[in-house]
Amino acid sequence: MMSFTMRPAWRPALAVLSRLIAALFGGYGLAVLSGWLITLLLAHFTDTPRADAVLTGMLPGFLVYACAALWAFAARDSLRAWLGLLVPAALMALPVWLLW
Amino acid sequence: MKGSFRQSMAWLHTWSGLVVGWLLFMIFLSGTATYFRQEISQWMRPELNVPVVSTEAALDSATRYLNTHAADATRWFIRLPDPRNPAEMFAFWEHPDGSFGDALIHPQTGDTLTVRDTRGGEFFYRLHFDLHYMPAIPARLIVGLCAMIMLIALISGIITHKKIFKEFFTFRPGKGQRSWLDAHNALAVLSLPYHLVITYTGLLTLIFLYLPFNPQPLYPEADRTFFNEAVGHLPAPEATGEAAALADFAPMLTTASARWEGADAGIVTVHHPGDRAARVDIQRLDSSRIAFNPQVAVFNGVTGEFVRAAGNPSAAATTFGVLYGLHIARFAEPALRLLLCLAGLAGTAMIGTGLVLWVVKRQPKQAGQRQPFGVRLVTALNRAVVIGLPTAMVSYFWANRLLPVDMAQRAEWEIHLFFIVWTLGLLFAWLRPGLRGWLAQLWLTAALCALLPLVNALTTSRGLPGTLMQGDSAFVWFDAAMLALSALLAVTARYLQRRARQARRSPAQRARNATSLEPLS
Repeated sequence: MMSFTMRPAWRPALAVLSRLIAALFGGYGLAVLSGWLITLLLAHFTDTPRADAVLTGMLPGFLVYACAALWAFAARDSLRAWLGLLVPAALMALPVWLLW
Repeated sequence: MKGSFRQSMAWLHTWSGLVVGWLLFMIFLSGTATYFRQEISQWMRPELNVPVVSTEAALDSATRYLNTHAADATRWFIRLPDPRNPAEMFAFWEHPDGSFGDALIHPQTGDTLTVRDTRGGEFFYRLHFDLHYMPAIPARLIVGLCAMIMLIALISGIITHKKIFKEFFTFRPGKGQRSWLDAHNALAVLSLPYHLVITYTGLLTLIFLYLPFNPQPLYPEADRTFFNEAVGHLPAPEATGEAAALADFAPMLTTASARWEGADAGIVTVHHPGDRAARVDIQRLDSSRIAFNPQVAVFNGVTGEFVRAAGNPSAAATTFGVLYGLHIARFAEPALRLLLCLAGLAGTAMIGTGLVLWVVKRQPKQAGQRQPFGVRLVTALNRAVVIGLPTAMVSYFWANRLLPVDMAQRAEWEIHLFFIVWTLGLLFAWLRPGLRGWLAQLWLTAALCALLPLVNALTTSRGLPGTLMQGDSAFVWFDAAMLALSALLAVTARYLQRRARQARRSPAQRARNATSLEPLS
């Protein structure tokens, strides 16, 4: 009974917190991963000097971060918010891991 | 979130904007003041009135000083006078034991400059990313998070608006919440490209701090190698221990300038002066181009021969350099600088109106209803930044003129006074909420601005009628800017007063005005 009456009070707050964590840390993780992917692709398939490969990967990082954070709050529920970040993360992590 | 995509973006815009709004307001306003950092620094050191000297002559003065005072140093670093601030030449040097010395050198005589101790425009520059009274790195992380949230608020704000083009031409004054919303929209859309660029490039200026893991795949050693390669930094040479005289600098300056389409030198670094291995690095003046990635000409310090170019001219580094350069805008000529300043002020006002709007939407529906604590707190904080910060900034200028010139820790006290006045503004906003408090502080700040040229004329030899005759432009412009700000604040105060009076007179007006003025109460 208790849990039933309390549910409406803490549920939304917890959902916002979950999205906040997804936006803050998930977004940052995606920014770093996307940078790594660009850097490694450039380093392996072009003759870009290594410093420039890293720089090129870094520059769009904040845009990736911002888009990820927007997604975390735009998704219909917090499960989708997390999935929307974890799926691209996994897709990028595979080539990064292979090329590292 | 519940509801549509646009609704969830509106929610995100409201709350992300609120949590960092006050800090962002401070970052934007002090960052905007930084466009005139050199001019503010000049104004705050009124005893420095040095004519423009050639780069060669200035460098000659610097080496004369350093030869006498820092002959044993392992490195000299000389920042040549900026064309916008010809009196200041800064040098620092490193002793063999690793300790540092520094001095402001007179570009003409080569003596140290004795000026009042002040941080000048440097204070606002540092404040806008290093904050104050706290270590720099955590401060930069906080500011970075604010900038990131600003970027998110900008994008979600754009999404929230259905008719961005139409809203640009919509202004419904005197209609309460609607007017604040229109003002917020117009300010945002008017300089939207500026807001996006300044926020993104601001993040980029500290990208090496914010994304330290990115070099990992190609630089597993995680030291300064990546940074050195990215900016094309040349490591210092080893000293030989054999003495050898330094070559003449003038031909080096000519060679360097010829490599840069005639642009001037900005920074000269001398490694191991007086040693056979001496090396001279001459860096191009950053205001001579948009991109900020350094261009360096390296010379043999003993023979004076050009050795090589340093810096990283690659496409990636130049892209980074241009984005960086757009943020710091060293290249901006006076007219462009003024436009950038206006865009910065529009950004500041956008944040301010956004903060006010949050309160407007949460006004009690019926008169006499108590404001919730949260609304009252936000209202007070809004006033503390929107008008409190300008008061504190002008007080900083007053402190510069009124504190005794030989006072101990003078520069620190100028800054302490800035924060004391700011804190008093917050207390005032909390203890005396309401339109009357707003008006009092608006008039006070207007008076402080208007009287500052007078105080300047009384305490220095560079007062308004004289400076106008002599073409002492930085001083004339500073005084003119203060008078213009004073007029702006006075007009705002008059407007609010008139509206309040009208509201008292007619009940019909009152109903409409109630919502437009209450956010201030």
